[in-house]
Amino acid sequence: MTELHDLTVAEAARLVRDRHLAPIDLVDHLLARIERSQPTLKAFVTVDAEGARAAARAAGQAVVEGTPLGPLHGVPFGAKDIFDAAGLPTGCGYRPLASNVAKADAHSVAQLKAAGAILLGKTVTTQLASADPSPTVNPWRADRTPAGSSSGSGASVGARLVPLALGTQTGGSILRPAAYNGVVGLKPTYGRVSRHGIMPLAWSLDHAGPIVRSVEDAALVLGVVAGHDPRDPHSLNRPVPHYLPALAEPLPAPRLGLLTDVLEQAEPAIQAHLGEVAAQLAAAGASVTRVTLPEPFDLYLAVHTVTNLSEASVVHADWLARDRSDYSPRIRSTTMVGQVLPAWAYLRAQRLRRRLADVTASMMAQFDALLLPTASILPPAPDTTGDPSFQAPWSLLGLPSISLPSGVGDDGLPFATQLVARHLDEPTLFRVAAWVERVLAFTARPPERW
Amino acid sequence: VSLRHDPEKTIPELEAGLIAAAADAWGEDATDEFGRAVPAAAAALWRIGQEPLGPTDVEP
Repeated sequence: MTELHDLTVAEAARLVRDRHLAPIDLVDHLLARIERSQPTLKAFVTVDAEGARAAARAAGQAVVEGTPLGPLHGVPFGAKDIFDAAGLPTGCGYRPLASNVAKADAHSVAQLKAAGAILLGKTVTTQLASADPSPTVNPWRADRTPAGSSSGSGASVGARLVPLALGTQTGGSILRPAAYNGVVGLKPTYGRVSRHGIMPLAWSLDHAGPIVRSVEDAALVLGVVAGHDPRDPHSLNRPVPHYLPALAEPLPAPRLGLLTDVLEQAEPAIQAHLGEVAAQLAAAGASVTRVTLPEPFDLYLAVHTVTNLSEASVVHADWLARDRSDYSPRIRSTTMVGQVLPAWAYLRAQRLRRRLADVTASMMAQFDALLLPTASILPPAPDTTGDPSFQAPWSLLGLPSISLPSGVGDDGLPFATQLVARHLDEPTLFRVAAWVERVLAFTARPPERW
Repeated sequence: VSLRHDPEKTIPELEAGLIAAAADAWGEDATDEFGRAVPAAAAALWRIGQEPLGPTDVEP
């Protein structure tokens, strides 16, 4: 039988619904695992054991009473510590916010709870979702970064402390932690998931999404957290498709565009691995076409950099002016320099951004998804969170992207493969990703320590 | 060392412009705090400056 901590979101929800698993048993099991892991893994910053147990007992009672159950009834989750959760501090890894207790839930936290999910606690973030490394450790190898900024979310799902954790991505902070911790990460279309109740970093680049352990779970969770929220001025007022049925639809050979100009920037081990993945997918029936971005790769990154620096510097302008001593070195330097970037630079970047979006959309029309590595390098030493360059273009353009674990190298570190779909075409992204997931049949996990 | 748009400017010139502007904004003694972000910012400014954009080209 599957260990409780190995259950996916969908498996746990099914077992609870079918009365084969009491939510309190699952919550107690995972809380104990979190407690054992905390001294070494450091994935959580706040654990709400009392609140989680109370919610689990209530969830169990609802099952017994035959109350209509939400799709995530009894499923435990964690939330990156930049999401508000009522009654818990939103510390953001920033000392002045250590006692910043949230009065209400962030939209996505509220949606998960309304669907029956149970919040176990807040996962460690890099400071203010920036590039300064957090104390969290990679469960695959303690001498490597778990990535960031959703460090604790990635590590907690990878180490089987929770089946689901919420993360955010401004450059690559959902997909890269998913990749470096050997799990699945989804960055939805910009505006698909409300950012209300989440500490911003750069408004037009910030996305919220789930880190989970299967494509089915990513689709299930997106169906719960997606939707219009007028409190987020960039929230899309568009119908939310039924994502799970799309997974069951038969998919003819997916048409994949292998981004060779991006792939060439990866380290040799990553290039070799993705070559093997592409060959495996082609052998299974996919149409894999070698393609390049319609504009130079470095232009996407430059536009992202100018946008990110400019917006982050304005997000933090007042706090920075008052006292910058608590800012970590990377976010301090980027926000200080961002404030002296001229207006022409930001506006020019936005003009180029629109051009990149238009030509990239045209190029993508011939494919179901683009195929590339999630990260350019394997997890490096923990003095950095890694390189966001392979994830940032899709944050810049707001396109949905997903990272799937796709192998393990000789050094015991996970490889990951990224798929990118057209604007708002998560249904196709999920169908392709589920197909790829079946072909690759990844089952590895980090060494069991907890 | 101004930061006005000029596609002829080099990355070192843009770095010098950013350092001067940041030192003016934050003080000469803050160079250690903002310095690490300057190279990437200068390179990005230079790169977006290389793309021609006429008045009737795409809007932000």
